[in-house]
Amino acid sequence: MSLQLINAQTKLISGTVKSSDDGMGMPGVSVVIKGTTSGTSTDIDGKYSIEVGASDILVFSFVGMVAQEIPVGSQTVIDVTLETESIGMDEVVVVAYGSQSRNSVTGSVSVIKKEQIENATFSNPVKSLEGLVSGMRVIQADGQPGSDPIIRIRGFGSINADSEPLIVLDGVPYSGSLSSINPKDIESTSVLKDASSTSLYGNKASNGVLLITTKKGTKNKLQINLDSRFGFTQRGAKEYDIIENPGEFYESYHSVLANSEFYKQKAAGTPITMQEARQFASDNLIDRLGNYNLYDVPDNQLIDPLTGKLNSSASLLVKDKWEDALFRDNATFQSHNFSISGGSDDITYYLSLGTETNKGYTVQSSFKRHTARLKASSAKIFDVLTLSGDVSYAKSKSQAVPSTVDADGIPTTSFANAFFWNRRIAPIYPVYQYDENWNPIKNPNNPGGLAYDFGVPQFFPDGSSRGARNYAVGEHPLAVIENTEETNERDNFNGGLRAKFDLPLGFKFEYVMNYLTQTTQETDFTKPGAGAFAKAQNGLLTNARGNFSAFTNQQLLTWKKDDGKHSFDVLLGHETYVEKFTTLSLSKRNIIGDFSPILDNTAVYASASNYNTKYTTEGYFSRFIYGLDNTYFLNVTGRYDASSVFHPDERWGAFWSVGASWVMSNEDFMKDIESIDYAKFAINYGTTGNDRIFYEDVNTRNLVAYENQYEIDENNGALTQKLRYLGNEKLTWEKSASLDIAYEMSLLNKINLSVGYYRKKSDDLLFNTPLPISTGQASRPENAGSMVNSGFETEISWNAIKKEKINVHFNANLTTYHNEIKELPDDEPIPFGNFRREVGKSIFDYYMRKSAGVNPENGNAQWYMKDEATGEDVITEDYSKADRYYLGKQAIPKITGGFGAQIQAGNFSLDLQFAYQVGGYGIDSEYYGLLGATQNVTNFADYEKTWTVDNPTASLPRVDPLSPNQYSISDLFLTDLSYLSLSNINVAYVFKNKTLKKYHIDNIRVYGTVNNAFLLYSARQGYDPRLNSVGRSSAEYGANRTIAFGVSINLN
Amino acid sequence: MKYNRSLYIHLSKYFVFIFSITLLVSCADLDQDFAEERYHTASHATAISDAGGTQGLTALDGAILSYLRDGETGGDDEFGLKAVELGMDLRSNDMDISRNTWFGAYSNYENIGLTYNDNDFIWEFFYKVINNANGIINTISDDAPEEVLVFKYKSHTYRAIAYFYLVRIYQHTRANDSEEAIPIDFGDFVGQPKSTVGEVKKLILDDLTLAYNGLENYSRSSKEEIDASVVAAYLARYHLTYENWSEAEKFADIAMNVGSISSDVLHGFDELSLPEVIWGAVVTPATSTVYNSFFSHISQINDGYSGWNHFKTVNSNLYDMIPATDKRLAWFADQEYPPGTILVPGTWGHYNITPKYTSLKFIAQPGPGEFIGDYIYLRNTEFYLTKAEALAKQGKDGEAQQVLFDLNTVRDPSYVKSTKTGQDLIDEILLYRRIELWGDGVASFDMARNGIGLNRKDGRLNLVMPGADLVIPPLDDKMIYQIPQREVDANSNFDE
Repeated sequence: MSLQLINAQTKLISGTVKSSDDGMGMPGVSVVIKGTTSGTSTDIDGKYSIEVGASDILVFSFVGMVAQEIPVGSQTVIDVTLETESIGMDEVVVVAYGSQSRNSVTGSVSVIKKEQIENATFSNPVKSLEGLVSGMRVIQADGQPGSDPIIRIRGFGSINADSEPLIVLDGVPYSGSLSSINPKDIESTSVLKDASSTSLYGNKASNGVLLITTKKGTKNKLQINLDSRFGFTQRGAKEYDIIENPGEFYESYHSVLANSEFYKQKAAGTPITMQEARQFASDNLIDRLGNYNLYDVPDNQLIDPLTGKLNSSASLLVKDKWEDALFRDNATFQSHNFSISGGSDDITYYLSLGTETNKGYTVQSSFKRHTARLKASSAKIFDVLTLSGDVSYAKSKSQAVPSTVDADGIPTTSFANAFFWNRRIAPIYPVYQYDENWNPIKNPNNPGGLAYDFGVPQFFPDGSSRGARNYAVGEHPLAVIENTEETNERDNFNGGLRAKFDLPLGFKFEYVMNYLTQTTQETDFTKPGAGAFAKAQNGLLTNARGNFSAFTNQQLLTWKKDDGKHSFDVLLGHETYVEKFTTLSLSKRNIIGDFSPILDNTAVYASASNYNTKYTTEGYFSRFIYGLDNTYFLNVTGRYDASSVFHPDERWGAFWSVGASWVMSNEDFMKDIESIDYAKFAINYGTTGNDRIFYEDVNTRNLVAYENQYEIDENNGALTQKLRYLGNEKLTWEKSASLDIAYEMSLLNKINLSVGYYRKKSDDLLFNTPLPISTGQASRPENAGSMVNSGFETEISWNAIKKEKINVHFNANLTTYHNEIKELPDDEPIPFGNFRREVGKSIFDYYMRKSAGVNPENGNAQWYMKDEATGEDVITEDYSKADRYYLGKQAIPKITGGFGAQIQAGNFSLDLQFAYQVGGYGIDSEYYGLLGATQNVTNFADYEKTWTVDNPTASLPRVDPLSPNQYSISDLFLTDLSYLSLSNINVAYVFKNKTLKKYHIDNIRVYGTVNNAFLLYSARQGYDPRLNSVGRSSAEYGANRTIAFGVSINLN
Repeated sequence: MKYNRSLYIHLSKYFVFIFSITLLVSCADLDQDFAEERYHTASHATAISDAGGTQGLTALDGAILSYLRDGETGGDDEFGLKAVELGMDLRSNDMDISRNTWFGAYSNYENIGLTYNDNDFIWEFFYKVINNANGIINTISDDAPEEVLVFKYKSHTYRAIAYFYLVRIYQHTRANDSEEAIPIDFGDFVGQPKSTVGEVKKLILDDLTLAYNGLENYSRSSKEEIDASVVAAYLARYHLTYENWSEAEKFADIAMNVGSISSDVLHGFDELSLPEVIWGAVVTPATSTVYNSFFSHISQINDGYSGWNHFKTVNSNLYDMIPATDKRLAWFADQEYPPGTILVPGTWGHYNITPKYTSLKFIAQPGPGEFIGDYIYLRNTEFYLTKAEALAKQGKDGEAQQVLFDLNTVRDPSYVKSTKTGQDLIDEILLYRRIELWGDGVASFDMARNGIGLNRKDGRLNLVMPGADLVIPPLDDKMIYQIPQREVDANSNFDE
């Protein structure tokens, strides 16, 4: 009956749906008669036709666009232009264990859309977020392709426990490697910062949460993407301004020797004239440098003792450079990605395949990765069940620069570390070995065919000799690099299953199971050619296997109800999480040949290691959201959590939060204000926990912190047992209580602004309280002390020009940091390296000896000390008498942030993204350490800034290898942490037209991208404050710049 | 098969509801298991000791022995007791290093400051020995069976040895008993204030006496272990240092009678089987610490630091005092040798030159690129000299001359028994002490107890590191180490 009635009144409507972005027809737009399930979707040109009744209303909808409802009336042709969805009331935000409308979010959530991640050439999906989000610092840490950055959300969560945020991948805590996630697969990344958003993650969330959501398929919309890019990688920041020219180095070192001798004789009471000192320097220069004279004049005639200048008739015989041998300017980069997604009414799918090869700028370093991801979701089975599953697999292989970082990822001071070496080795020590006439000596076993100079003494037939080099005899980093394979192969498999049931009375139950397994195969293969020890051992080989798995089970019961006035959203959940790790490694030496890193091909056992760890947590949690008129929201969460890290009696902790939001723009008084499109005020307060205490001085978690732990080893076959770490049965959760106030608004449909204040107080800090060394142990784990992190955050985006052909968009964000210690164990100050933790100060407040400049008489370094009698500060030249002072300087930047611009003109687009940091101080120990070397001869920068007899008013002390304390650490080393970098540049041109459409090509995008483009400002050339969380310089793998060009083709 | 679909859905809904409630209250296993350990946990250790036997104690004792041998890994100059001894020798008048590298900071007295790694290492090293010893001492009751008590006596010895070094490195040997020295640890992980020199000395003597009496009937299975003769040797050192001559004589006599004296002086002092050895540690390829090892630094013909160009040389003035017929002359290069010369019979040529006065006393035998040699902590010849000195100090010159003769005739067939008396005899004994014990780690401690300062401007001709040609009087502040910053900072009993 009714069917006929409808039929009787229908007519055919047709039209075209276009996008407001480009005015092109949009395929796959859903066109549905409101209140029914009947409808159609647009074809490839955006055209549709549908039979409707005159009283019907058509709904045009498409993901990411604002849906439109159009009453049919008397029309027969309905053309629609859909607008891109901007911040609106209906926007859905991914949050803990689900999603929420933006209105009901009572805290601070920043969302980064896929476009900002997709263009980056970083192998790691988080590195490209530097400067994009307020409150989040992304510290590059390491230029090795694929390496993980340091992430800090709202300051430093803890002192001796982990300060890394929790990563949640598609709703499940993710503890695998970040570089196993292909950035191209990411749909969005949300940064949850406040308690209201994070508290539900309870035990793991005290340092904030990064929610990564991967792409999925869309019903009835087939999309195929092909993307290929090629480029190259080079050093992203300059080296210190060290001496590169041998002649200049000889002159400088001659001056060093002359001034040193002049001072020494004067101090010994046997003064000599400066002229005599210069003569001494000329006579002894080559001997002190280890008998390396690269010029064609006799040793004692190299530097003229009268002028201190290089003999004008001397010519240089050797011109090789370590920098050229160790680094490359055009290491290649390429990546290829393919994805296909789509779906029918019953099922959606997303499949991607990707491959990437990224060679670092240091010879031999590289990163290769293959990824695959499949996500499929069924529609309702029997009307009650929705099933979805996703699997991802990533295989990566990275080849490291040998000995650059230790097991904790800390840059080493090993001579095999190419960065450490290149900075220090004086330019008078050649890379290759030469005979007595400075002709290169051949060695066909080396890749370049030339023999390497290990600095060991050479004795020539004519009776002359060279060396031993007065720097790292027997070492040669290039030989180590070429004769070492330090590889890490990782297989990462992640599988998730979700089953969602509709239950009676509006309840929904969801069961989530996720299994992550990551195996690593590490090979450290040192061939005999790597140097003296490797040669004596005839090669060394270590093979290590690690097996990590994480198994998550979640049971989520939800209930939602919305009657238009009152809305309820209730969640009850239970989660268990088990993390297991096992490792096995074996080292042997004496290798047959030097080709294969296989233990069976070796002779002598050296060592073996194996251990297993397990970490378990369990939590019950609940969230209750109540909304009134879609304007007032209340959000309450609670979580009860247990961790296996603590003693059974101390395991459980309770965490909670309360938050409220008020959508002011829904109020009558604001509705009249035309300029304000949207305004929301939110406030929340709540607690989170942290159980991730480290073993002292390392970044390895202590998973049995309640027990004393012993190290078992061997003493010539017999067992040994030594107390390694003290435990504490009373140890329990570190708790953070946060207050967050946020205000956000949209103005004139152009500007989005958010401002916020946060204050996080962490109590019962997981603390490895230092013990005096005379107790035999360095520390004991305790819950002690509390500290506060607070600051303001603001983000602004401005769509300055919004026209059909031109679109200009600016964004900026800024965060301030303030850290203050509120309590400490026994309220005693605790020195920590160059910091001292004291109530009322920050955790990174410098407490150091204070430089009193240079004694203009003799160039001696001077420091301040407290005169015990008078209490006054007096000057001393005796470093061991100098006192330490609070300097009012911190390692915490005052402000961090970023800004950027996106310009689109027709089919052309340009994106620029900058990052900056203002204030704070780091210790530039690399720079000053070069000047202060007393053991071995090292290169240095800025010698002209140091005291000499001819330059008595210089700001830096006399460089003197015989005076060990001239450059002992003091506040002189503190260097401004401020920087400005142009982190990303993207340019693109999109081809999109009817001709392409015929071939099912939606568009072709041709682009160029530069990542880590330029460090535009830092306090000193060579000092890169982006690489370390407290700005202490070290011999790290410096930032990589990648320049790539690519083409991306979208098919449908 | 047909079924009522709506009923099925209905039932299944409730089934799932019940099922989900069940799942919600399911539990995880949060307890740790011995199969899942990063390190050996205390509960695991307790389970083992509850099972009886001395396996745990043997392992704890073995850890102290291997720690004495290997020390820390923070640098290439932290190889346990031998590293401290080499460093202290480089502070003496008798040994020099040619270039400033590892150990250079000992030679130029740079590392006495509170911020230096070497200083921190010395402090940490001995206090870890003390703490590990306390860990054993505190868990064994006095009425334990004899085989258990042995471990307690051994630990008293380790503790005493460690304090004996500490009190002489961080305070002047001739300081008054009432002066502040170093903290005494009780094994409870609580920082203690400084005790006086007298209190530390009393603890050392009490520990050694208790250990000596306890171990008198104990026979060890190898020279790696502690027994009464080792304790006697340290008692002899103790009494010699603090000038109790009769006790020094008594215990030196016990120690010198261990083993015999080898007539071969060129075996490299790298084997525990040498009859002169009282106590030491075996080093194997598995336990070798490679460059961070004694032989890397001191063995000229192994391709380690010494061979590269950080030559360890004897003070040429001391060298010149060695009689021409004395075999010990061969411990030092008598001229500069070109590369490739075989300097020690039965070994190999070295790639580098060997300057005159370079040490050839210590050689690791396996080959140029390996540093596998046993560490010798105590040799009996030292106690001949100790006994001779103690006798001479008591005016028993005839007996002293005989003991010195017993040693020296093995070293020098032409040696004529001394006829010197009084101070002249003592001086002769002390000279032979400097020769015989060169490189054995006692030279700077002898200087301190005899009130002799450093004088590197004594006209010596051997290679001296630039900047190390120092003159320092005996009780100068530079003669002792400052308590390290890490201790001062963490110990609330210390004033800053």
